[in-house]
Amino acid sequence: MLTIDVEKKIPHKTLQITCTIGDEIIAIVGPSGTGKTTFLNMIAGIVTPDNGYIKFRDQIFTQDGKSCIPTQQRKVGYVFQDYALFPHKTVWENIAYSMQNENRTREWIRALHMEHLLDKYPREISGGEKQRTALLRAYAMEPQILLLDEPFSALDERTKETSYTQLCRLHEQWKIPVIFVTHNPHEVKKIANRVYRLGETFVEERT
Amino acid sequence: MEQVNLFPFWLSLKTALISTVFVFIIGMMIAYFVAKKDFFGKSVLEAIIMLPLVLPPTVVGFGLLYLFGKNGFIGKWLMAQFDVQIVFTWYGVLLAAIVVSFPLMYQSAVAAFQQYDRNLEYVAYTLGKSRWNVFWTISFPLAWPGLLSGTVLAFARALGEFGATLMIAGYIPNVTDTIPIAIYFAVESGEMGVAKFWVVTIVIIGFIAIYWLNWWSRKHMMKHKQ
Repeated sequence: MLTIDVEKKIPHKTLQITCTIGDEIIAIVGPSGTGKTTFLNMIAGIVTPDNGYIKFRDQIFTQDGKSCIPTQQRKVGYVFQDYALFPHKTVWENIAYSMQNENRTREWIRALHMEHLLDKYPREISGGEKQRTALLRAYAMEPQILLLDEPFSALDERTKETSYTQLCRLHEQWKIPVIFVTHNPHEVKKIANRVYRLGETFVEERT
Repeated sequence: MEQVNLFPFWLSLKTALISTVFVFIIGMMIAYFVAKKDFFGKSVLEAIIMLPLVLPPTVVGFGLLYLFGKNGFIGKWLMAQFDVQIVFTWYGVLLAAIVVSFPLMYQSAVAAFQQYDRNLEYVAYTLGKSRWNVFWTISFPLAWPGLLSGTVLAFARALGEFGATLMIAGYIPNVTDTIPIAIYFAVESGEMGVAKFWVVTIVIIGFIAIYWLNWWSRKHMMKHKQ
């Protein structure tokens, strides 16, 4: 269970977020610039909230403006919006950077049709392939929480469908909180258990 | 041509190599810290580090003499504690080389640590890697072209150092006569052949260093593009 009750000043507003997330897939929707990425960054420990707390299971990630557990120890898999692939490492080296199990990782690579790209550098592959590499890198660490910032936006329709199925299957196995930011209503309908809208306020949307 | 004593070549090379190793390690550490952190007095610290780049070498030499001279604050302490004299010794030559070449390394290193996307370090942290591990596997390789460029420039600057060296170490043949100092005193004493020899030598070394750096940067530029 991930419990969040935080406040964070961002340009033009104060972000106030209160929610409890179980081992489910949550979609975060809302216009650009409302703080969706900041929300994910707070869970990952990249940004510290000004007030409030973030708790995960029996761990307190952050409390009263202080980070209690550093990013390195949170076991958060994070796919950044711009992928953040290491440019000096090949696709395989990116995926294997924090890999837990090679056999499982190779299975996921096959499912996303990435075997032929493993020796290439990020500059040599397309946007969609970069996005899949970033997804695989986050999966390979076998996280306790998965944060995805528009993870499927650059994929073609067929790969999107495969990726949805793979994410749902992994979620089924791992039973962890998965939070993904999206602008795609089809994606929300297809994989999210619940939806939160982040605009002026942070509210759960009835689907 | 008169018989040329090769001592200045070996002294310059030794000084430039040792000062570059020192400047590389310390410069990289300070630059990494400054590039990643905001703290009180950061601008003042940066201005102090960069000062030797804009000040006349004689002013830098005077400052070093003031601090490291026999009656200087640090000089006195070094003599009392370690029986080490800086003025008119090879240590003075080394100190001058370090001080004048440090800003070049520092400037390149700060730029190198600031030019790549910080998310690359953040994502490595989310993948469970320690700061030390992230530094060696992500930050250092990504900053390497800039660090190397700073190192080559610092080496070339240390090799060519003249003014501050003359102020603090003077001209003592076979003790403190680096190539630039040997050139100056060869010209002064009318030994134009010797002066020409050293001029050609130092031009060749400088040219090779810069040429190699440019060649290497072009070759490796592509690898670090996103």
